[in-house]
This record gives sequence, C-alpha cells and structure tokens, in this order.
Amino acid sequence: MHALPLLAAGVAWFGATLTALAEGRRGFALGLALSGAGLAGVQLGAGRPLNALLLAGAALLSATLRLRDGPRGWGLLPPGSTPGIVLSIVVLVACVLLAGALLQGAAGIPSLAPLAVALVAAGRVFTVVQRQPALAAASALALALAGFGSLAATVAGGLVAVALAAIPAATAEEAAG
Amino acid sequence: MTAELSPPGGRTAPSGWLLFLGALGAAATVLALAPTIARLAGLPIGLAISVPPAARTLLVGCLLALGLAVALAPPTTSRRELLVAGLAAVGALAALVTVPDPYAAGAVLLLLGAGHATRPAKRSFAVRLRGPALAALLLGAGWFFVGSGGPLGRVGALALALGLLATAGLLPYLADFEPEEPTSSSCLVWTAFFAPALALSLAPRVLTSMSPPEGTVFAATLIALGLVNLGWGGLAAWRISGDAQAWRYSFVAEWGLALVGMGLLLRDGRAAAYLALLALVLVRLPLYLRARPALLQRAPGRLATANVLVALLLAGVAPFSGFPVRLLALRAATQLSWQLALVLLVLLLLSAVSSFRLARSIGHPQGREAVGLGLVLATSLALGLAPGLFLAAGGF
Repeated sequence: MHALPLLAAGVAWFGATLTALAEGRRGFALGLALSGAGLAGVQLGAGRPLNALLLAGAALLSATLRLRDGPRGWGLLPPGSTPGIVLSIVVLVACVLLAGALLQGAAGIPSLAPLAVALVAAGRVFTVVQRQPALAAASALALALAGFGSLAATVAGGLVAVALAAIPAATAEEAAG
Repeated sequence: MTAELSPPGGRTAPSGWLLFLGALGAAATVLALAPTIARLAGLPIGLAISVPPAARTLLVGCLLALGLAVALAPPTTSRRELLVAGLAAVGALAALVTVPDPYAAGAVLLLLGAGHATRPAKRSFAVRLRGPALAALLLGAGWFFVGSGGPLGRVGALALALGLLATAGLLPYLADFEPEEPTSSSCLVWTAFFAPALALSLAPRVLTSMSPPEGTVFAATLIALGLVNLGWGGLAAWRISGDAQAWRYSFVAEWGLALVGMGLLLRDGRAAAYLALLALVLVRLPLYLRARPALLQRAPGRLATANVLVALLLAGVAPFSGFPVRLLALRAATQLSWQLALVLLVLLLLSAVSSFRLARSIGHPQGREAVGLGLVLATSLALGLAPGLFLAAGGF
C-alpha cells in the first residue's frame, strides 16, 4: 500500500540529486523530470490527482525548456562533485531519521520528499557560480515548493518552475559572443 | 529608481519583454486591488486568494509613488521605460501579497529573485539568486514543519521568522551591497520594496495558523533579531565609511524596529510595524533615491533648511512619520516588559544619531528634485500627523 509513495519519494530525491550533480543540459532535464515525476507520485499517493497532474506537467515542460540551451551532453558527476554527493546522502538519511523519530515512521517518508528535494536543490544554488546549474536547481526548488501540498502552492510553484526554465542559460551578450 | 533605468540622455523605448512584463504587472495589480478577488476564496477549487488590508494599502501607496516618480522624473530619464518597469515591479508586489501560503510565496520569491538577478550588476546571477533561494527554502520548510506540529512546529516557526529576515536581506543574512550598482539591481530592492509587502501579508496569515508555543517562538525570534538589527543598523549607519552604506544600514535599523513591533503581537506593536514598513517604502526609499546622485558624486554637503527637515524626519521626530511608529512600539513594549522598552528606547536613540549624516548626503535639490523632496516630506507629515487614517486603511 505504501510502496508507491515510498518509491515516488525515492525517485524525487534521486532526480534532485541528479540535477545537483549534473553540468550538462540532458542531466538537468532528466533530473527535473524525475523530481517532478516523483513528487507527482507522492501527490497521487496522498489522493491529490489534480496536484499530481499539474506537477507532472510543470516538470515535463521545465525539463523540455532546459534541454534547449546550456552545455551539451549529460555532464554527470564532474570533478568536485563529492560535496554534492555527501549533501544528498546526508539529506536522505536526515529525512528518514526525521520521519522515524517525529512523524509516522515509514508512512511519513513520502511527505518529506518535497523537503528532501528542496534541501538538495537549495544546496546546489548556494554553492554554484554558473548561471545554468543555478537556474536548473532553482527550478527543482520551485517544484519542491509545488509538491508541499496546497493547490495554490502547486499552481504557483509549477508556473515558477517553468518560468525559471524559460530563462536563457546564457546572457544575450554571452550568446552573441 | 528614476535616473538609473536609462543612461543619462537616453530616451530608449522599452523592450518587448519589458512591455510584456509591464502589462502583466498592471493586470496583476488591478486583479489584486479589485474587490472581486475575495470571491475567489469561495470557489470550490481550493484557491484561498485574498489580500490583507495592510498589504493592499501598501500596494496603493506604491502605485501613487510610481505615478509621482514618473511625473517628476528628470528630463534625462525615459518616462515610458520608468512607467513600464515600475508597473512590472508593482505587479510582482501584487503577486507576492496575493498568494495565500508560504509555499506559494516562496515560489514567487524565487521567480522575483531570478528576474532581479538577470538585471546588470557587478555580482553574478548565481550569487544574487542565493538570498531569494534561502528565503524560499526557509519559508517552505518552516511552513511544512508548522503543519507537522509538535517540536517540529516550533522549528518551523523559527524558520518562518528567519525566512522573513532572509527575504529582506537583514542580519543574520545581510546581503552584499555594492554602492555603485543601480538601485534597481541592488539588494536594497528586497529590503525596501519587496520584503515589506511580504511581511505585511505573510505575518498575519502564518500567525493565525500557529499554536501558542509556535507563535511564541515566532514572536521571540522577531523581537530578538529586530533588536539586533536595530542596534547594528543604527551603529553602522552612524560609523561606517561611505554615505551609501550608511543609508543601507539605516534601512536595516528601521526594519529592526518593524520586526520588534511585529513580534510584540499586541495591536500597538503591529500598528507600529505596519506604519514603519509603509514609511520605509513611501518615505525612506524615495529619499534614498533622491540622495543617489549626490552619493555617487561624493560631493561634501552642507546643511540647508531642507536637510535639517530631512534629518528630523529620519530621526523620527514629531510631526514626521517616524514619531507615531516609535510611540506605538514603545507603548506596546511597555505593556509587555519595561526592560524591553528600556532597551528599545536606547537603541532608538542610537539609530537617530546617523540622521544628520544621511540628511547631509541628500545635497541641495533644485527644480523637479526639490518638488519631489517636498512631496516626500509631505507624505511623511501625512503619516505622522494622521496615522489613524492610514491605520484604518490597513485594518487596524
């Protein structure tokens, strides 16, 4: 009964981790798509199909928009990824411990999926200096905010995720140069 | 943000994107101010959209201020560009005050942060996105924890209060401030324009959903960090080198007073916070914008009559806008604890020391600039002489 939400939560965390550990447009797009799919699965498990549909649509659109510019390829695990890997694992362990200690045990883990995605994505925004990874991580953070529950948050977060993905990865001057 | 939108002498037409954003901003503002917006809450779609009266008053004030800024813009500034950019900014403000919960507010903050970070500035895009991202994270995580209740609820209340401070770029999240950056690109946009609106719309919403222990943590955090910001801002505005930096810290100090008022939770305290934030947007920000040209020229100023009036205004002396704010905050603090009122009084005196330094930096405005300064002084007088009118408009 709890397998689908648990799996969805895992997919969401893995998608956020992928977004945080990639430097190529395909890596960002796949990470965003997985994060959105996972968060949508959690919403579906919680009995909110409309939220799930909106989240999945926003994630798909964000991923597609992110594919159009930025460094080519996957760019997974570039040199210097160790702190990002450590952060992702620490967030995962902390969320499981938090669910076990203060929420309803394993059943509470899916509700922590948006928090895990938000923490991993925010960790990337705080440490990166290039524009495209910051935009991709900010899109993932917006999807996480959309996944926390209310319909207003889902609409606002989904729209913001898409809008952030629509911002070009390079400034007009960089693109011209 | 008058003279900084276009280069001197520039009369460029707004770009297509800016026109689109301006139209979007105008539509959002009209929607937010329309009386019908409250009816959306009754629809069975779960979108509880409404604008608190205090935030609505701030929005109307910003629209009036924009109209005046366009009317009094110097001849070197493109009025059309100023109007369109201003409408986009006020529209963003409208979106921020309309969203019903901290998750949605966090998402809107992220978008505003990214939009603001695309403006030309010394600091990189990614660096400028960090502040809004932190604020969005704190608001989202905080609201989630508050919803979970128990010990996590108190952590959530702490995170929400910190999220508000991160949005405004206050201690302990003081953002980098580059005096040479145009105001529209600098972190002051957050401190003096977006964050006051968020505070006026978000604080009442989250407080009604918190349990008493969570509310206590939220209020205590606001009071403690409010006192820190008031003291630090007052001292830095007095002692720091560079008048632009001094102005920035004067905003921090004024925010400190507003935070203390918000944290006191009593009617007088909340009224003080509301009036302080209203004055921050409608009086202090326009004064800073008037001072910018003189600040960049670094011309040594002498005190004329207008400067003395501005100094009295900034010090919070009667009959200007700062006086009822200080009176109400001290009255609320006295009701809670006389020790707190004593500390607040000392810090208020400390923050008043920098007022003559700041007033001197305004220089000696002539022509349109002098008219603009006169209107700011008149706004401050209106806030100081008839605070009841503004409090009634804000639902107090």
